[in-house]
Amino acid sequence: MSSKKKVITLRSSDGEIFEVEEAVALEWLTIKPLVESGCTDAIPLPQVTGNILAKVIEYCKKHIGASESEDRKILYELESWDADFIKVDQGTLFDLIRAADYLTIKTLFEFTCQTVADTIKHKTIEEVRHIFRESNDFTPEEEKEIRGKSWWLQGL
Amino acid sequence: METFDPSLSFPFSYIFSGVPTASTTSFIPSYPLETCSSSSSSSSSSGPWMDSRIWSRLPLKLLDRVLAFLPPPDFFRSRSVCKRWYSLLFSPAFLQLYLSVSPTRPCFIFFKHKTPGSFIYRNDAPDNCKLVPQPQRDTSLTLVMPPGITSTSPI
Repeated sequence: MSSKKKVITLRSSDGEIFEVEEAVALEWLTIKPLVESGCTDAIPLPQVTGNILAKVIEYCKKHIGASESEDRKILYELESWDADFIKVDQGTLFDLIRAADYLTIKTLFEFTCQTVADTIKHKTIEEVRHIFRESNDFTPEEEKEIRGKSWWLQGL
Repeated sequence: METFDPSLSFPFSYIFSGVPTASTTSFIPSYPLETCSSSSSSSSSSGPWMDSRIWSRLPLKLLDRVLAFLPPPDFFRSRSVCKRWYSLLFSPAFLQLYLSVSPTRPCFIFFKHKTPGSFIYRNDAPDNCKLVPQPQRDTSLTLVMPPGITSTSPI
């Protein structure tokens, strides 16, 4: 860890240039091979805008090394930091999921997916259908039968 | 992925357990009440509002990933959204994804009665989910367990 820190240059879809430590970029599996190959040019990320890339970098810088920590205090602080980090508008959350998927950043992808799942689990079936514009393609009989079998889920 | 087939929906039974110990799994529902809002259809909205103009654009692949993060009772409840969501219950690929997202989540087990070709999922190590075909039986089951649990015994 004492070796000098190599910096990787990234270019967002809107032309913003960012610099991140190599250790951070190596967590992004999509660009990992490029980073490992010693690429010195700015790596273009045509699917991520500058404002989203800035958030992604902020998250990854905070998490590098800390996620694996076994120190409860560090983990607690990280959890608290995450809670503040994810207080973003829905459009940003959507873009973060897509960016984390595109860049293959496991920690951020799981965190953002979990955030959405935590929200939809409190919704009714009708609300979920509306949110994702899924149409109810069950016959009334099928739906009644399925819902009839959900009685045991109440209270779980 | 199997398409929706009403004949698959009965008879079924589903059992959850709490976070398992290494040696035994006790099949006792252990979810707090708030993890599953009422299953009735007319409940009022709860939680933050979600804009369908945004979330309806989520690609199916990513939507499935999000669903894989639902706790088991909520995941089961969500199967009545539409036939595609329902069919996820019978998709080995989805069930393996479901297993892989969180090694600490409770066990997730379901039984399929009188259907050939049952499967048991077992995890010998994290990220190493295995699909183990079982001999044809009158009563078959699908067993999904978190990593670290290796029981594959018919129950």
